[in-house]
Amino acid sequence: MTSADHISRSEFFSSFITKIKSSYSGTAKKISVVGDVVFPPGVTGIDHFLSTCNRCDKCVAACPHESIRILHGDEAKYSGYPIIDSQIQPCFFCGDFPCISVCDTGALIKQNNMKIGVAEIITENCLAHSGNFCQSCINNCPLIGKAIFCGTNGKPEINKEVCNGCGICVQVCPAEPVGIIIKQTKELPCQ
Amino acid sequence: MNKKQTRREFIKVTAAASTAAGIGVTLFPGMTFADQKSGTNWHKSVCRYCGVGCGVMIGEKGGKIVKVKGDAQNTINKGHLCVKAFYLPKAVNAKTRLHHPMIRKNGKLVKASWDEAMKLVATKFNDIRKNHGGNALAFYGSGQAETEETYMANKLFKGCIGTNNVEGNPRLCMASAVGGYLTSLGADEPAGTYEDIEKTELFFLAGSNTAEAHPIVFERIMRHKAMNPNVKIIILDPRKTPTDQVADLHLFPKPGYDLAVFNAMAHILIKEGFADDAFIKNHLFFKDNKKNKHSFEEYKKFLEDYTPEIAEEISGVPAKDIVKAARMFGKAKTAMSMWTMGLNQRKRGVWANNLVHNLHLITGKIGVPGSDSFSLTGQPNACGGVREGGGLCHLLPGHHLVVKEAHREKVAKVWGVPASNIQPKPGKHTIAMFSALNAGEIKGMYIMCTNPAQSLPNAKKYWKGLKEQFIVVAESFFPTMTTEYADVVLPASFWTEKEGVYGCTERRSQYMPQITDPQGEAKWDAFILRDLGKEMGFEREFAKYETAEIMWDEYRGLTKGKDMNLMGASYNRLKKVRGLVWPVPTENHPGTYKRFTDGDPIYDALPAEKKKGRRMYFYGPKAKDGRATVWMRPHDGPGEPTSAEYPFALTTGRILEQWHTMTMTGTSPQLNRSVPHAYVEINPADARSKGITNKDQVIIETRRGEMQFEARVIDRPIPGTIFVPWHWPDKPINVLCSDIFDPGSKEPEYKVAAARIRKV
Ligand code: SF4
Repeated sequence: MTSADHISRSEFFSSFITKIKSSYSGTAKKISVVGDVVFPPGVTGIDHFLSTCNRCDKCVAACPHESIRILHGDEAKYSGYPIIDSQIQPCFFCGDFPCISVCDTGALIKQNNMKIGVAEIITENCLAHSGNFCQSCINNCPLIGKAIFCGTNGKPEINKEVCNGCGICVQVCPAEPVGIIIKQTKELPCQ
Repeated sequence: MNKKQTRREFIKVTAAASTAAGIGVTLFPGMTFADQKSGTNWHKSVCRYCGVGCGVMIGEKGGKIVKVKGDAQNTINKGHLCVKAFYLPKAVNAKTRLHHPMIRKNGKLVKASWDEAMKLVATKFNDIRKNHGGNALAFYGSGQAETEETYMANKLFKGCIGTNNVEGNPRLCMASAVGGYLTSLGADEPAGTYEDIEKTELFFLAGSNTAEAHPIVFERIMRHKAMNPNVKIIILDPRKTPTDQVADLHLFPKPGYDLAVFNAMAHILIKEGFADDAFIKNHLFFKDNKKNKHSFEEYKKFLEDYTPEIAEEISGVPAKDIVKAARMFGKAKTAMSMWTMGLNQRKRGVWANNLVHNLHLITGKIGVPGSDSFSLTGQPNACGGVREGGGLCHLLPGHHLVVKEAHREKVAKVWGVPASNIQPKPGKHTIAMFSALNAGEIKGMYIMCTNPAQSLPNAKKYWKGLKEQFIVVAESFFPTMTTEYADVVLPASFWTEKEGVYGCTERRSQYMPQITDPQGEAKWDAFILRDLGKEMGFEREFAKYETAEIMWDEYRGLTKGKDMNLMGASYNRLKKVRGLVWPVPTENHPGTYKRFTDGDPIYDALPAEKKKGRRMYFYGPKAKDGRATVWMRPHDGPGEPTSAEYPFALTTGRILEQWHTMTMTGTSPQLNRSVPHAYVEINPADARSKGITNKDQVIIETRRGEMQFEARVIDRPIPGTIFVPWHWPDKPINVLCSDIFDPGSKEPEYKVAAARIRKV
């Protein structure tokens, strides 16, 4: 007997949605960070951040999108620090940056050009690089056409200056393994 | 910083794709190739999704579909595929595939045997027919069904049961394009083909988000422009979309107010000397809305009401942009217009289509390489199965009409039924049909390969009839919103489990082989209909249809001598080639690149005096004297204009990664990850004034109800317009859409509804 045997009208919607969730989604993927570890917005320099942040977790609680989480485990250097894993939930660059507002150690500071990293294509995984027409990263980039755009060869290209590393492209990438990652950037601190 | 793409790099990309598809041993010429290393057999077929009709190679290993890749030899996509197609194996092997029939008992759908299910349906249908007449039954099909499947449905319902209540979802997407082609050019479907893409100097993309809805066509446009920077692209759309990547000029009309823009473009084209006087003189009629003939001079006078300034006032598109667009169109040696739902799904869809055709007709930009007025079809077999196959309430297979006695007689003879079986009056069009279901006038409906409970406009209104009447749903996937209302659900074979023909946007018919056995107890839709016919007592009428080829050959016979002649497209031949573009009258005819002109076998066969002084002859069933018609269509707004109460125009559309109601794309976690849930796009200016910030929960309300969405604040829709993609079954936006329809095409106006929005 399959689960489809008994479905009443009243049960339909709940079962339908559950079914969609169980068989359609399966979106949860491995938790360990692909690419570089990326910190919340407002970091002015990695060393400065690591020495200033007291791991109070306030930014984690303040993030309305549950984008900021605490890194546990292998990456000993950053363990316990707040990070963003774009594959789970990218940063949406809220206009008022509640994460920065609650940070009272000075680890996160509001700056003019917020940037948490920069996207980079992994060509061997990218579907567009294997002859498919895929534009998910381009279509979903909130900086429409400015940070990621379609090169004349039909493949995504990144403007490293404009890209703020929000990671929405990483989350939406339909390639498996993922075809785009966020790298830490030297210019991260907007120095 | 754009790296310059050289011609060599392009060729490199294509070559890589070709070698990938070419490895291995040929098992059947042109059809099946074995890759001995991996143990995979590759079968030539067609993408299951959109109307572009890309050729695919389906990888099967040990009876299971393992991979789908582009067919490098297919002229449409040359080995490329969009991301949806890449994940098609997930749909084939999905957990949500239905494996056995189900019957509703005590309110619940429970597993049943084929025998029980078929007997029940046949008895019910026969009872309804006996007690209430054939017109109390109806069939609702799909532009995704194969031609053979729709052909069986047509015979059963129109030829045997005796009702013309046969419709399909192409009524909701292509009916206005059909109306446009018939009234303007005299025959349905475009004069040109995709081949024009690489030959044109200018694209006019109106009401089409080509990059997401027709990805591979867009890729070809993009590549053509990249290699030829002089190629220009004009977009007309109330929303910026990913298609804007290639735009040189974007016109933003308020949703539903673009008719004036087309007229104003025609106005400028003529005023600035871009009209082709010779073409006009010998090839065109001018007619007003009442079908009265006029002279070119009178048409010019009509256009005086449509100066760019007046059009600006009506549409909101700056006059200077309209002039610029008209000049670009006029100056380009060749121009290709493409459009889809933005023009079709409108209260004046046919008019919008006519007005685009006008631009090509008055400038003579038609019938020559690189110039065409080219409608993009949404579904893979809307053209082939439904427009050509006659799957609508006024049609019979092969461009025949139910109102014509000679057509009824011809088709009835082939079907082996009395001509009196076929009703001389068209049946009910889709919206009328579902209204009649609500009213209890239609008491039984057979729904095949489509999900109307989610996809109809103002959908909730029609749930009543679906709930109350006897509904049979033949589907490959379960559950869907429509199976929720079904009394019987029949498991249908899917894509690789059946053979048949798909006909895409460019008049091209392509063959799809059966590669694997149907899953579980699933059966091919055409066989289900055939067996239902037998069970209902039409034993003799359905006895001969033992194979798909028998059905195809019978259908093909009906196209003989028609404008859509498919006599040369036998299964044998289709199996070897990458589709054939009709008219293709004989087995050795290569197919027709351009209709109505040199090289078109029907044109070539015309007597010389008819062709004298012309380069095109519009010979279609609705054309007179070989002339096309320029229509004087006045301005008209949407059926539901915005108001103080409902100040926003709600518009809907597709996204790249999802397809229709997600029964197929929803099976791929990778695609779902890409766009996990529905959202509403709102312009930042509107968001500010409504106090909405990105990712807020908002309520959208129309006269038909309200629904909650996540806001995506983004500079895509123009201020005053909001956009929602329509795919998600938990947020079926079509419930909020308007079911006002075009009085000509009966296609509903999905694209404009008056709405308001508020933060939760
Ligand atoms: S463009 Fe259409 S036909 Fe081509 S691969 Fe994508 S969905 Fe399939």
